[in-house]
Amino acid sequence: MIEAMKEIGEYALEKENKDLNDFVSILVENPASNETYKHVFCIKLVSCQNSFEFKEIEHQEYSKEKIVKYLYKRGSSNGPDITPTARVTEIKKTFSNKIIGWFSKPLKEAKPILDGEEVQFLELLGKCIKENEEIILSELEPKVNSIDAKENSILTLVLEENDFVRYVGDFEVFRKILKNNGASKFYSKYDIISKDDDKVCSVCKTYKEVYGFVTPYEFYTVDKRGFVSGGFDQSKAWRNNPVCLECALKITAGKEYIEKYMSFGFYGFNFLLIPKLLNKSTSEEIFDIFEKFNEKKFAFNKEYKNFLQANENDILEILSEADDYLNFNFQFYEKSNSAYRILLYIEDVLPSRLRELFNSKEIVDKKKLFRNYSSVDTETKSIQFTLGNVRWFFPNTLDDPNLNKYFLEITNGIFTGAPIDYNFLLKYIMQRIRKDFRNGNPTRYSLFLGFQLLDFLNQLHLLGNYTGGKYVNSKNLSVLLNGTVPGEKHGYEERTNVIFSEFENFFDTDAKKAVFLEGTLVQYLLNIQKFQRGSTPFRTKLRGLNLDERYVKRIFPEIINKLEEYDANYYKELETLIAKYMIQSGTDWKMSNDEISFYFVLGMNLSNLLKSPKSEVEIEND
Amino acid sequence: MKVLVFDVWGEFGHFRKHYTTTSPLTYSIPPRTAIAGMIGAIEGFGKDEYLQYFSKENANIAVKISCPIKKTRIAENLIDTKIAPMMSRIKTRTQIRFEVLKDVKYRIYFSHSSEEVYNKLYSMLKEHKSVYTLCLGLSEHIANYEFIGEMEAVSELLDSEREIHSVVPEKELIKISFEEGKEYFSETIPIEMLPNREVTEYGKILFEKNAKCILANVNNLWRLENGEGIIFM
Repeated sequence: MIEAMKEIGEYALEKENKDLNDFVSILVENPASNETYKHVFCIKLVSCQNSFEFKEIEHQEYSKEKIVKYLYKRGSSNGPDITPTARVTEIKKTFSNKIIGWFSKPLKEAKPILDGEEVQFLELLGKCIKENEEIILSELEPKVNSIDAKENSILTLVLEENDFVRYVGDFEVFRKILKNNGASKFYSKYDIISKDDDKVCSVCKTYKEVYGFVTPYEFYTVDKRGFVSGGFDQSKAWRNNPVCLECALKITAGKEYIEKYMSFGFYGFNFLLIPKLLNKSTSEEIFDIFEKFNEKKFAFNKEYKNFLQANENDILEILSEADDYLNFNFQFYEKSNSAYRILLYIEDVLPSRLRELFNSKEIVDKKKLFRNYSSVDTETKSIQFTLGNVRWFFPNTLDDPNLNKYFLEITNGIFTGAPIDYNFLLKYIMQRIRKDFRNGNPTRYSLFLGFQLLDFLNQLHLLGNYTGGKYVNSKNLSVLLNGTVPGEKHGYEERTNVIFSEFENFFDTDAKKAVFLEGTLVQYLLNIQKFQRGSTPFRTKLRGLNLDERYVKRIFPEIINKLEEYDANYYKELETLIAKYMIQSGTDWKMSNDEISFYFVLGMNLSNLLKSPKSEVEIEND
Repeated sequence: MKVLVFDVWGEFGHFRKHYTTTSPLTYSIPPRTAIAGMIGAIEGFGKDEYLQYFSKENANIAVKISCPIKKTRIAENLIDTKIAPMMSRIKTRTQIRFEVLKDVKYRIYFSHSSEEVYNKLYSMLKEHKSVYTLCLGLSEHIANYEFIGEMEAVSELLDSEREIHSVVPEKELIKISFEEGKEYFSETIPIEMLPNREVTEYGKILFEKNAKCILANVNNLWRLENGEGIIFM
């Protein structure tokens, strides 16, 4: 990861024409963190003989070209910044904390690296500002307050010498301070210094001066002694993670680039997508993709939700077209306060793997069942597989914090090809469906998402412990039925076989078929009840969709009986079919409650597909 | 050259990547330095001295992945060493999510210039004895091991592709032929460390994630009598 970041950094530096020897240009930050920063207020001083005088407050428009001149670098949030340039929050505070404040502590800290002349220069500068504090503020306040409240501004110093205006960044002394500060954070922290000369850098593997506290993110901190393996001595941290200055700067630049172009939001998580290139000559191509995607991302939607959505809104779809000369690392992370936690790190996902995912998705999406999810009037709605399917069953809830974890693990499984347990998935799919059922909501949406998820994983051979028809010896029912059912009534079997063959991996035992069809029959009964009495009392018989083999067998005659009671048993053929499958399936189905319930509710929801034209007419006539 | 071959395995393992502390990630294979530690544990070298026996000059170490690499994440409660005095009077814990290896098994190949070190390991392995408890990276991931045998290794001079069963150091690699159905990964790991725990060499190694062999043109390939091709790290 670190090496990949360094390489990205090299690219970013080259692209922006930044010279590695020109430290300052790498370390300096853009004071305009967003587009609302449009104003720059310069406290203009003039030098006369051996002192300075305050001249005026100059109001300028912010200019991107002057970033190096402003020489902004964020310091600690309460204290002053690294140089006397600051983002204005509340002008009075900003002026006293960040500008006047700068000439106390930061200046004192910088003294060891400055020569006498430089110290004197800064002290005089500070003195002049301090002396003119009230005048400066009285001029500054009305000017700052006059700008649009929605816009932000930056406060800095300029010095006029012989009609020549010089900014903070034009003075070697400030550059020196920035440089020192920029490098010192790599080896000086917690009042401890960790560096050594002429040691191997773990990134570029050459002998150089190395530092101990270099890291792009806080997944490496040495704030606790216990983190320093081999002696618990924080000053020896460089032995554990030695990085030279050059690599540290490249990593810093790489991080910036990654944050800008390769970080995404994803169902409530953040992740970085870090490409690892095997062939440097093609790097530009791939970075281009990211940069272009980034432009689009802001035009469309800031939150990136289209994970595994096959269109130009999904970076993965675009990247899946690349050749296998590169691979991707996904770093899912969580930031809380200053801690940075890697929740999941998926390494080395090849574009061909992404392609495989999209191919499977395409196969699943193309299935008739999902294409015609619902049709209202002439409009047909389809549902398409995304990782949103997974999220639907593993949402972020307070009652079950484990779901977040499971969601990430399943994501990991999908990308790396690690199987996901079938019964585990069914448990959570049914949990959701039962909740819908209990609340009297339609179960259709959850059911379809769940079925699609299973089908997708099955396409990828990722359903772990899915034994299918292993336990039950099933024969082709047509053989069994041959000659026993009159020819013209083959409608149900034909229609069910269409579904069974489209999802043959899921209807591989007679028990599943029996449960599925019984679900269908129940739905017909419920429809009739609804039609005749306006309510569906039989729903209570379904035990909140917590069904087992015994119960499914037990309610079968009850359903038929109920249909007879309503004098509406139009489904004799379907009942025969169920009976045949039941006989064929034998006893001891070896199906879990969740699985039985799932197939049952699947039957309920697909009942309309199996309806014969005749029975529809009958119902309407009723 | 005589080579000692033995398997180590365990339920979990964790070989922390050096650039992570608060979100520890693990290498997929034990770095050469960790294997030196394991051998040191079997032979009974103290933690301050064992590294001096395993410089590249004296010790040849190679490793083969025997079970597909699987990683998972487990949260562990560590001592908050910022607060706990003497690291023992524990007041608070800090919970850290470890990335760990699951169902880990490696085959290790070892030879040494010193007969004493070599023979001691030989006799310890043969009797399934060890002075210190063997672990896979962290003390809580205890490992078992089994002696496979002492084998004769022959240096293979080559100008063509050969099957390599161990992980492949990138610097020995001339040309690799990527095969369909194999998953190639690379990692930079510490190779050599001084007794003061200063790493003097980092190296990139290449491996196949599902414990399959790699087909490549390489330097310094050794063929064992059981047909396995290995390269020392």
